[in-house]
Amino acid sequence: MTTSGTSSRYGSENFAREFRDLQATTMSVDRTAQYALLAGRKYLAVISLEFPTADKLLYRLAYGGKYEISISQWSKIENSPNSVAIASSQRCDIFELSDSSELRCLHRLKGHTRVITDLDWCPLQANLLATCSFDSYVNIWDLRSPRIINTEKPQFSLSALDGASQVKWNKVEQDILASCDGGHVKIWDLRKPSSPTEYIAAHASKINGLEWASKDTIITAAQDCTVKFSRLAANNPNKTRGPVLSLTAPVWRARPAPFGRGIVTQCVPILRRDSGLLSLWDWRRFTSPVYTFQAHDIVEFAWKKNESFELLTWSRDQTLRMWTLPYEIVELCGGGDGSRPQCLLNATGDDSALETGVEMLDDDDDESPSGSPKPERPPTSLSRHAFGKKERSSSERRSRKSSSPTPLTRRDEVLMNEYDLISPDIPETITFDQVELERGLLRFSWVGKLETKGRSGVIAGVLVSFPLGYPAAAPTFLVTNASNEVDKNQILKSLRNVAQQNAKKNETCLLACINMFVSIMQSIKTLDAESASEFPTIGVSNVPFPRTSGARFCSVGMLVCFGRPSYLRRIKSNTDSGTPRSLSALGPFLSQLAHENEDGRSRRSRRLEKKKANIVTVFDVTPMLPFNRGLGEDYYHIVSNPFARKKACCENANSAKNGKKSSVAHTWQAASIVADFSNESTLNPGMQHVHDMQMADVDDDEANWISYHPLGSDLIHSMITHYAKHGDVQTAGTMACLFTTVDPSSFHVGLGVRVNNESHKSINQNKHLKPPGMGSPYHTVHGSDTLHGVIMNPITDTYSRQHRSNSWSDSLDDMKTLTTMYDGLASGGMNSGFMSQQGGIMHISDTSSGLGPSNGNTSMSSLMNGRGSHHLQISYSNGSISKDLDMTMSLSMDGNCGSSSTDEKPLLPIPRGYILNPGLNSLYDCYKKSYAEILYRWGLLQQRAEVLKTLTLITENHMIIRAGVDFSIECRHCHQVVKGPFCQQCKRVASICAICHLPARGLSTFCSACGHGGHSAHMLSWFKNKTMCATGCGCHCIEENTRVFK
Amino acid sequence: MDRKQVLLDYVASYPDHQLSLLVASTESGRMSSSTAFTVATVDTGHEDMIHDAQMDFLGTKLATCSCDKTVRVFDVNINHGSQTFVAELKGHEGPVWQVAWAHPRYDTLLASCSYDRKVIIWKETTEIKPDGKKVVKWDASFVYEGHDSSVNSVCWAPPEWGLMLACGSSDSSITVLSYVNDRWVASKIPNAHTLGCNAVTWAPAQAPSFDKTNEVQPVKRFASGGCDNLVKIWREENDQWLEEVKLEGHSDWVRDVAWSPAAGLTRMKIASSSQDRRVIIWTNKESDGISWTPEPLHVFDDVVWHVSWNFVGDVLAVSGGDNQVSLWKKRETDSWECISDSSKSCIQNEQRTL
Repeated sequence: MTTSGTSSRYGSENFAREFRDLQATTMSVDRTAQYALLAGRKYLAVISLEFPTADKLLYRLAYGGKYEISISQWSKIENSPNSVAIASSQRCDIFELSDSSELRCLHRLKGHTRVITDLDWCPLQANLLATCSFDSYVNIWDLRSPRIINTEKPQFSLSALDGASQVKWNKVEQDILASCDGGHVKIWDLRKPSSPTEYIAAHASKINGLEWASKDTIITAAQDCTVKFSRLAANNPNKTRGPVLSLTAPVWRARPAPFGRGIVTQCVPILRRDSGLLSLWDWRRFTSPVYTFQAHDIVEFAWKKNESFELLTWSRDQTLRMWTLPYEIVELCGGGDGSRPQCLLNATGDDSALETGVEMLDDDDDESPSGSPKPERPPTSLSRHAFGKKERSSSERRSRKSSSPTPLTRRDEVLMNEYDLISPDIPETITFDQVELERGLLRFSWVGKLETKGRSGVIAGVLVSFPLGYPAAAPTFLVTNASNEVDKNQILKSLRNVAQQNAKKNETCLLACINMFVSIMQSIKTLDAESASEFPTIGVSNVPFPRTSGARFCSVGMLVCFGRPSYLRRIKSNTDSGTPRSLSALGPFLSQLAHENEDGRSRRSRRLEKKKANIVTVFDVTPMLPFNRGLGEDYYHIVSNPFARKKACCENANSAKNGKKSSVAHTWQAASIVADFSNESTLNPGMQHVHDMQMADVDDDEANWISYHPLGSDLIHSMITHYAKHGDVQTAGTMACLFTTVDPSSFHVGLGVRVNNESHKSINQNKHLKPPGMGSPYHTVHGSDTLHGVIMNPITDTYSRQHRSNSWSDSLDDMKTLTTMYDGLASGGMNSGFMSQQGGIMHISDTSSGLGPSNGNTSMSSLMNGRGSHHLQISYSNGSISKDLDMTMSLSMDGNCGSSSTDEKPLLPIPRGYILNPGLNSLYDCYKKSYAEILYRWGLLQQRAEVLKTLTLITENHMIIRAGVDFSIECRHCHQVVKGPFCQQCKRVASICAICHLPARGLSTFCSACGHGGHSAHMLSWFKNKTMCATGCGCHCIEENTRVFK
Repeated sequence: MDRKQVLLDYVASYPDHQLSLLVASTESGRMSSSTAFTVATVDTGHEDMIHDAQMDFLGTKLATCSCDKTVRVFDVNINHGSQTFVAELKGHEGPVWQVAWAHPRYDTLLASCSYDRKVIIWKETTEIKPDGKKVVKWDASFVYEGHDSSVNSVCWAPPEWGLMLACGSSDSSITVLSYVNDRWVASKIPNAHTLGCNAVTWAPAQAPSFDKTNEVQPVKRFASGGCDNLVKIWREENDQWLEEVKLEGHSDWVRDVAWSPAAGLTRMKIASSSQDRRVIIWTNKESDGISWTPEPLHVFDDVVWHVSWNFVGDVLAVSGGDNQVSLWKKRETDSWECISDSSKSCIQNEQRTL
């Protein structure tokens, strides 16, 4: 084998001709390879490529365009007018080459609004042309349709969202075409032009070249120095990724060669080095190029077939060159099989050879091709009968005569030869574990390099058993020791395909299989590496357009705003449909950003910097909130006993007044009266004597009259819910805290008030007299001119309400009555004063109409007369708030737990000693927690602790996120871990203060690094100006402690 | 009773960053008082567009992220108007889209997500030097690289759930990172939104419980919006994230979702903004997390990029492609009212569209 493939050869041209005056920027070769069109801004020239008159200028047309020609292409269909499409700027012209070699303009297609980046003739329909442009549209032109003649409008416009850089028709299906923008390839089906049928995220950076390799395989050449094969997911749901060819420079084009497995790549020239060369690769072996053309600054290249394959190039130095490819090179790429018909191709032409060349990529079916011979015998068979004579294939020509004296079967001979031959070519990452060629067994494995991060590399091994019929029969494979990342089936399938293809051609396949295996394994590795290192530099169409302005509420009352500076009003693409949705709309802008450093385009950012573009404004919008920090500091949140409630409420009212929250102040005033009231009733049993009809012991549960009183628990509850509803968590939370009874038993013990049972008894009686739901509660008014008689009635009402919680109309009426009453009584001053204060928070509907005076009238007036103006206010707030409450509550009943659940679970009566119903504790706890959160964010930690202290249901959500720190005391004498204050062994006090050397009783503080410490007071004073431990142990306590917890 | 609303009216206009509060009583027809909000202006020094800015829970630290691939942290004291640059966090290799502060209960952590497919969790460490000086350092404490495309949104879960971060990416998946046993564990929801997820937001942990007696087992939920024009709500069940409900209402990509905070609120609400220039408020009337009623807020002039609830959940800040910020408040009459624009045009527009 003379051409083992590792060496790249450098070709030189067989002829070159300079056309200096043409200044052509594109070249394209027509389908017959007779003519080449050299197109530039000034001239269009047709060059003959036929041998006798080769490189002769046939025709020159002064074009005189204003813009450079970006791309030109001859139509690909035989037996149709030999037309060529030439794109310059936004326009695409169609010329026809007449028999007299003259160009005649047929059409001018002016459908694009920005530069046309690529065009492609449909290889199956002579009249179809696709163009793509930066204006984000891919236009399909039907040159036969009258539409184009009349309106110059395209047949279809595919909205790619993003300026497509390449567009290519599928060579087999005429409705399918591919376009690429950024790193993505979009596949379009013209039968469904609204959106792409598929997105392929092929590359992380910009794709420069796009080609169809076969019916469903796409070759992409990209800025990230790779050429990738991607398969359409529709046909290959699992295996969309093919082999990857990595180069040293960004790749401009990658096109399949018209023979075998050849692929020609063109690199983007970097700093005029050799990387702009054209290279020919065998796609099965991406280790090194098969052939390299010694050409510089290639603008365009195309193939031409005479006796051999010739490559035509047009370079920037205005020279047309022709390179003849040696036959063995063609053969190396698997194209040397002369039996296959070859047709002439231009650069973008289709080819059946190409189809077979990338056949392996396509072939996903499990069934082997019909003609493929199956292994004839079990691979372990040692039978050595001679293999029948067979016509020798080209590969066999390479095989050397074996010197082995043992008579070998043909298989063994072929295998041994092959093994000898390929051994030097095997990549380092492959090792042969088991070589038993005479048995037809071979095992090789991939030893991935150990990754630095400590992860073990990917490994996999393949056991190949060659049948006797090899190479005409394909070997079988078994994947062994594969690590998890490896898709065994993929390897098996691919290897089987390679083997079968070779077997069909009667060629050896070991090397091809190993190469396949290597590329699969490499792709696994590259996938891994990709996610770690590569990052996209070019916009992709499904990344949303970046937000350049915004406003966010943060913390408690902060509004953080940022926006575009005025001089950058709009960064928008030309499409005037508003702000684009995807980042890809910023394509050019972003790429500038990404390549800023390379291209020295940092001018823009420097300009930005100078103008101080980026200002964030933080607004303190707490005035918009119904609460403020000052009140949080001033409020009393907790009381030591219920008798302090009144004072706390009054203080809170004062704070509110000082804080310009007069409506809240009124509420607090009302609350203070309720507090007072409840205490009074507890302390002063004489007040209830009026109701004492019978003296009997009443169950404690029912003995809490304040809970039935509308101006008692209900008032507090409605105030809390009202404020909560309006977002004033502060008032709601504080009130909930103040009126929460932490441990009612303590009050009872301390006060010894059993006397007030008397009052409850009467309620009890009332309850029995009037079962719930029995008409208006006002019927129970018994000649009551006394204050407490009045109170009685609503009590009953409220009580009955407890039991039929979803029919509150009575109580609502009741409240309305109160309001009506109030409206009637209060004249002017009070009204407006109070209303305007409340107005901002409450929505008070007009209830005065339609409600006549009711029989509650007298009782109310007596209440007011009896209690004075304060109570006037209470009754008012009660009325209005309760109404609000009714709405709130009924809403919340409907909305939150459903009225049915309320029916099922009626509230239990409020037990004695409580003002707030313990059944609602979870609700109150919510308010408290919310308020605590606010206090926390304000940094009022003490107040927060106070609020949290009143939580009734401690839901231990202090989840174990990190392993907890355990502190234990070690006795300083016997070094035992001590439980409790004294050491079990030496009976001494375990902790001794480091300062006073006395047992550290009371509050003590210890260093968590050295364990020394003592009385908190002593420690505080010690560490005020020292950082080292007091015992002299050398511990820098202050410093160390910051390090302990990390 | 002649009842008039006290109208909060303030102007937030760009680029001049003027914001003044006018409290006007329409009843009297005159301004009763006029207060200007305290304003702190922070020159971030970013070299390019800012994509997000957030303050921490305590309102003392500001983090901004930008197209220049950096995150910058500032100490801001709004009352004194003082601001100091603390650190520039470099580590991303692409534009940084969003930042999020973790609850201070878990140290000072900041999450950022970027176009470079990474999510970085930054940690602030304070070291006290022997001379008593405090040195604040910011380091990347964890880098998550499990996404295949740009990560567009990060959001910390309510602190009750522990350290937990949801990340939405253009690779159409959502990852929930949780810190368990000193390790970050990723649980991925593949194909959460076809074409990509643009925003994630967590439901508050303490939904107000109106159920009187029962303690409802708290449910971990979050909402996400994506390029499939949907808002989806996810619920954790047996350590797996299940799609609980799909909210269809937008006709273009959903750009942002915001779950209203729980404080003082009666119902679960989600605001979603979209490329279709609309903002929709989704209300969960049943509190079951399943039946959501959409309510269109307004049709804006341009794409709406951001929605943000204030702490109480009664005011919504909306911002978008037109560089404008508007604040919306729900009135008792059940209509949403723009309370920010000085002109009344906004309200009129709203009425026209409704």
